[in-house]
Amino acid sequence: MVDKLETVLKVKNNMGLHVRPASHIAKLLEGSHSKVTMTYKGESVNARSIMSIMILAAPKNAKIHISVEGKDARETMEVLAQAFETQFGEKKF
Amino acid sequence: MRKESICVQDLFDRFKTTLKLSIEGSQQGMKKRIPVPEVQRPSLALTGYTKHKPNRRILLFGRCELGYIRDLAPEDRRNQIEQVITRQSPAVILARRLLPPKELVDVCQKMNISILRSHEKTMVLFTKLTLVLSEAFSPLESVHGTLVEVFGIGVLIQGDSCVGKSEAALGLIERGHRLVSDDVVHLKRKDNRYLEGSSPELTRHLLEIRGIGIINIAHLYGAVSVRQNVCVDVIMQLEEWNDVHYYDRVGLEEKFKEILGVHVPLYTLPVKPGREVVLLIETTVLNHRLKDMGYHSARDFNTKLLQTIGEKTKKKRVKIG
Repeated sequence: MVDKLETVLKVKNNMGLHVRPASHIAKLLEGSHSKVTMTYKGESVNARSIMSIMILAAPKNAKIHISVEGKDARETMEVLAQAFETQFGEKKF
Repeated sequence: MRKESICVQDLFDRFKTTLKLSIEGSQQGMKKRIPVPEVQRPSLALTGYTKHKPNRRILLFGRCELGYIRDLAPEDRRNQIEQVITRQSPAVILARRLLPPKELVDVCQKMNISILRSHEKTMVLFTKLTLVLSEAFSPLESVHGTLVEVFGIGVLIQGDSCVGKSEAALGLIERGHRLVSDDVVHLKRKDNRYLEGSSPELTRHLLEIRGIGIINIAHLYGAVSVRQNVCVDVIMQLEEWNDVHYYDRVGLEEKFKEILGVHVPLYTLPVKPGREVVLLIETTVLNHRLKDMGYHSARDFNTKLLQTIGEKTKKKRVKIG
């Protein structure tokens, strides 16, 4: 069964969605079978592509609309929410 | 699809050099939206004929209109101007750097409309305004893919992630073709009949290759290997080879993909080890150019084949007869 989930996630790391977070997201999605779209300020991009994520140039506190469509939508959305929460591995504890 | 919508301030900021514009007096109406990409010279409405008068266009006053207003009796001027300008009018532009009569300034202030002045002659300004407004109002869409110019033809390479779009583009650049955009392509419908593709400013000239990373094509291969924008002439859909799927082996059928209401020729190229994608794209593009020039290889061959069959059938009939 194909699910479609949508949510808004906040960019929490200081430097926003720069090269490293973009590649982190693309890497996380390599194992997913869902179509993932990120939308920010009217620009919608394919979240599997590093370059696409980077053109959003989303700064800290930017609210990104995430749409996941596919048979593993729920798992993919959980992985993404976790990544945003942990600041893509850049969080300083 | 999204449509660009602009206000008078945007028009001024973006095109003040092209249109040689300056703001006359108050800036109170600069935030007004321009609802339609059209310009109107209000001559006929000024004379009193207001039937079918469009209210939402930018009003362009030239020597003719201002001369007519000045020739009117001072007490009639305001009335005549109010017949032309409404609260819906986005802006008033004066050509030839003409000065607005007092009555025109008063009416514009009352209606909250900005007055702009240009150094250009009226008809030149009319043409330029129409062109820049049409450009500013063109529908836009961003698509996933890689845009390359191959033999002068704009090729939009599309396909799933990991199918090898960027690698194909790199191969094409290495053979002397040009990169326009990788991964995200901004498309704009021009003149209601063709698409122009360009790159987002941030990722211009960049290519992302798995295993290498992000590379700058203009730095690696020089300025000759990149372009700012190109007309999208064909779409090349790359897909993993599927043994079950039947791929076109003749080329008689023509497929199109609709983007922003424009039908772009679509070619599907199955990819598998051993098939040189770059060569296949080059060949498809050259064949597309031949078709554009009126030579359709598959169709011409079919015509020749049908002629041969026809001749053989005739001979057979003669023998039987």
